[in-house]
Amino acid sequence: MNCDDIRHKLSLLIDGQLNESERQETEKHLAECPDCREYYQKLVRLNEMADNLFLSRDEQYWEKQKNTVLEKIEKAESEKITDIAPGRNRNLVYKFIAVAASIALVAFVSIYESKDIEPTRSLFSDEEYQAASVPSRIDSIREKATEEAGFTSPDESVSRERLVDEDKSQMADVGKKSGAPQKLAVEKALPTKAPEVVPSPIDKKKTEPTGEGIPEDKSMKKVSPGDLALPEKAEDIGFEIMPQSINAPGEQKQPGEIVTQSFHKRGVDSDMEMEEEALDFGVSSTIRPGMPIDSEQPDLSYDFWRARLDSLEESHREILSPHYMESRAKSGDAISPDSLDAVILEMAESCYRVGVHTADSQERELMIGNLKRLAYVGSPEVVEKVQNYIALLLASE
Amino acid sequence: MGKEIGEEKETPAVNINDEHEEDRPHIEAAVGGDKQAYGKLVLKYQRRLLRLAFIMLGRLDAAEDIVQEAFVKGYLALDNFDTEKPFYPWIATIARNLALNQIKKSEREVMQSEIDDSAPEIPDYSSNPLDNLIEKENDRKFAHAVLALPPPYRTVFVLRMFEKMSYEEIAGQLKISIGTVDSRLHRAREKLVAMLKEHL
Repeated sequence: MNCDDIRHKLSLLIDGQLNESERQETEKHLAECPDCREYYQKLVRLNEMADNLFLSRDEQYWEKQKNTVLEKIEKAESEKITDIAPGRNRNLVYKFIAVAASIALVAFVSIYESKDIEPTRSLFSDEEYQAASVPSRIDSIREKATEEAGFTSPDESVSRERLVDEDKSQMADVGKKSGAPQKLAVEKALPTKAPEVVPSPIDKKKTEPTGEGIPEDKSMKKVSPGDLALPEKAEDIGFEIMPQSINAPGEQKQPGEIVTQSFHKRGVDSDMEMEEEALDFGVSSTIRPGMPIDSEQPDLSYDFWRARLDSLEESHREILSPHYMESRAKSGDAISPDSLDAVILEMAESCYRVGVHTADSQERELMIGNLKRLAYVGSPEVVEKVQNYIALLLASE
Repeated sequence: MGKEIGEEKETPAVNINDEHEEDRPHIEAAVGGDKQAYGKLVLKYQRRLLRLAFIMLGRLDAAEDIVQEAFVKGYLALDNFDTEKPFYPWIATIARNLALNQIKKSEREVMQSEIDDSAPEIPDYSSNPLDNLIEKENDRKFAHAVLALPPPYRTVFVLRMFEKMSYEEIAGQLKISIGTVDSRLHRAREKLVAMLKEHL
């Protein structure tokens, strides 16, 4: 071992983290190497300095701090809602109010969106809507907002008209990749694995198990509006208002004859997948998009997306680096293009959600900056989706 | 120079069981709603918590806010506190989580920049309240150097050196691997030795 290795070991030695043989080897080196011995002594001294560091303040300061704490406790107690019902029953009342309010809000948003954007929008199921909708209003918002932000797409060459007119099979591919970002489970082995698509509660009843990642199924079917049913659950409605549901590039056909595409997705239990995903992100598995908000955690939604983004940043920080594409070009495909797209979509949605939910304008700006970076990294389809997030976030101000 | 205020109480060598026995009457009274008893716990532990928060955050005003918030949250959550367990680790966890959230927020603002692996210069903290908080020149230099560490290194170093957390505990708290804890600690120490070469 050279001196660099030994210095690393010295850090472990001082913390008692070496096993017997490593310790003996390190101590042997120390006995022979004066430089490393000196370094070790400095580490010991560093420890002593940490142990001896105290904050010096007079007693009045600490007394004042303590009084401030007690005053804040008084204030917090007086601001607490007076007992609606004692003990557990009170929590139930809070929860009931939260559930009712969430359902009402989600239903209102869903109805409002359906009237405002697309007359038959709320009648579509998630995947049918993705394939059928022309997000004319959102598009105009997006174009206007991206113009205002001075953002130019690196993918101007891919026009919607071309996607519609050229080739339906290409469209199916686009549709496949434009699957809901929150449904893509980013696993720890992501760099070497293709992305997996987790069916949403809507998809679940319509999917067929195949045992594979995302099998291609470009079959198209005709659906009349009368065949389509309203979503049954609040979760369904919650998923329906996700931005990816309204930004599929223009695939609308003739009125009364709506061409949709069906996706065969991996036959997994979506609840289980969400559970695993939630655990990966270190958040409670009970937190789901579209679920009622717990009254004791008023900003639950923000926390969820923030936690998700934090987790993605921890494992894929490099993607947000301004020099990522250069380093990727140099180092080769450390992460496959498909996996990269999956991560970008996850990140983009999390950035968008955090940007929408945050009360901090700086954080919102940061999310817009992140999205702009992401829009230069992925495939053309992903770029388009990221641009939509940017536009929606800018328009949501 | 005489002993610094709170030095005896802050020394980590104090037996945690003795400390707990000393705290128990105050904890039990506080759980029963006695705010003055809780005030005694505040008085006893706020110095240690302020040191932790201040070194983690690098700002006195933010550290004061975090410590106060931790004590308020702690009081409001006393119903869930197991009085058989020592108070400090519990309240320190609350403060640490609040501080880490704060750090994450500020880290995000510099997220895109890579961690600079070169040893930074000790910044000029001449207008920093640190100088009013730490009397000894050497300690001040040390604190300045720790504050100059990149936040990911600083956080791991502070949890290990000031809170005496194990590698496993740090890994669990920060949701990183033990190997990352190990390498960040090594890097932090390497940088500190370089920055403090004239003071060690």
